[in-house]
Amino acid sequence: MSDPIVQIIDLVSHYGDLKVLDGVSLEIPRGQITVIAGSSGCGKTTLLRHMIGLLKPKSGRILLRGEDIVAMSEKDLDRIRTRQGVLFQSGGLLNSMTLTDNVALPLREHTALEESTIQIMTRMKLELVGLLGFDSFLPSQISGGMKKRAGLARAISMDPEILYFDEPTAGLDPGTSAEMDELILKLKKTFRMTIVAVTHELPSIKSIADRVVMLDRGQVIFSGTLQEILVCENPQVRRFLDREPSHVVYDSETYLNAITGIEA
Amino acid sequence: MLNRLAGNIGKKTLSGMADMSHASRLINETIYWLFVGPLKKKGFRWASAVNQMVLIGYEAVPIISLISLAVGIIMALQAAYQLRRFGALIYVADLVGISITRELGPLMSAIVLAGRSGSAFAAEIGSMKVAEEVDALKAMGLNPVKFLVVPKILGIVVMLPGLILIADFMGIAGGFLVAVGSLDLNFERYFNQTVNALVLSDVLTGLIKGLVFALVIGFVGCHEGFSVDGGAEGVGLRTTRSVVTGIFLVILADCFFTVLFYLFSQGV
Repeated sequence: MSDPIVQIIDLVSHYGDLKVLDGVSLEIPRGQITVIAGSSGCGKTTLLRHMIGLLKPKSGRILLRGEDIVAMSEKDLDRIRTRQGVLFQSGGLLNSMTLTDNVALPLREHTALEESTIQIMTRMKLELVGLLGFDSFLPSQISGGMKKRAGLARAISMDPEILYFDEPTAGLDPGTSAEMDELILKLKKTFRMTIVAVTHELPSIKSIADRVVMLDRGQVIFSGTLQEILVCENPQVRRFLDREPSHVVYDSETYLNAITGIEA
Repeated sequence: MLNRLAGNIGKKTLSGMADMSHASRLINETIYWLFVGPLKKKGFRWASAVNQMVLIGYEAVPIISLISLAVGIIMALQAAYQLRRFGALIYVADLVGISITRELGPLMSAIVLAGRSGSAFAAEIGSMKVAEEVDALKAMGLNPVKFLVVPKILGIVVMLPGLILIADFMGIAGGFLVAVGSLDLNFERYFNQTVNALVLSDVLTGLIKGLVFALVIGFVGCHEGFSVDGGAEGVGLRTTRSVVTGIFLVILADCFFTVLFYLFSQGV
């Protein structure tokens, strides 16, 4: 792949004693939508948090445009963060500020632009996500779907090069989910953004993904294009794609020990 | 069994040390964003600071006044109980004046503020942490200490001394009410007696203690807020801890300062 924008090399991370990421390596190509998928608890959100610089791994490297962000100080990380946008699962809006103030926040803090210019840019971003007219609303006054869209408006307010989504369609009804998918595709096409989306919603994956990386229990079990994963023969991948519940089969003695609390 | 005891002590010590290192890092960063940041043109959130001053100071005036009035009344009556035996009722003025300005004014105000503002800091920051708002700030390249902590610390440090002065006044007024109302003392005599008994250092030591109390309450509240872990229950736990730890540390600091000022006054 020519010139990936992000390279993750052998990432190992723990929560206390629990190993969450076990030697994860992958590449994020420029200008495409990469979906990081997997069932709950596979480590995908933890991986995303490492990529945004919110967590530090036990070992491994994360190269963003060639620079290793694992070794960087907070000050240098802050410089990098102005070129990225993040949409958190709940929207991540500051509840004490109106939508306009939320979306304008990065502009007001990081740029020396005139207030009138900032207002125009803010309204442009709100219109892009379909929230024009809701400028002076507080987050508590709008629905969950609208919060996500407002969070997205804020994420793109600085016109970032790379955009991260944590479960963009979680909690949304099918219609609104489809709208969000369309918005993501529009962002890629119009602004040529590199997009990394963590999700486990199949319809979303099928409509937006260029590449898919699948994790299972902290390890990468698949990395390739959308077409490749749809025909993949790997049983764990198939189980995820075909929506098959996993069955754990115990032999009778193990089962008996487990329910009576006797350690074998 | 001894192994387990040693292990527990070890675990508690390590987690306590980690806690203290987080707290000291918080203090470090706050000092940076209060003094160095603005000079380096990195901005200062004035509007937020003023807003905090209103919430912490202005809105606390009624409750601080009432509590101090009550404390003044209590002190006067308790004093009168003993002094009446020696026919020395006029010294109620001295006792109320000195104990309120040196001790009870600052201490009661600090305790009220720990309950009002210390818990508010912890709850606000804690809830923001749970709702991923703190992460969102970091992900945008904005420093949570600059945004959330500095305005609060500035607010409480600026407001508490003012509140202490109000408390001093109301406490002495409470003593006066009792003296003139039920102890049959003359207003002018009571006023003069109070003024003669008080020295500037009485009020000043109270204010200096107040400054330190404000810092303690502010940092404990913010630190507990950032330490929240695990949803609504976590917020509740840390909010409670911020009040209890805040009051505990305030009283420790009070003890330390009282001994210090006493030694100074003896000419050590």
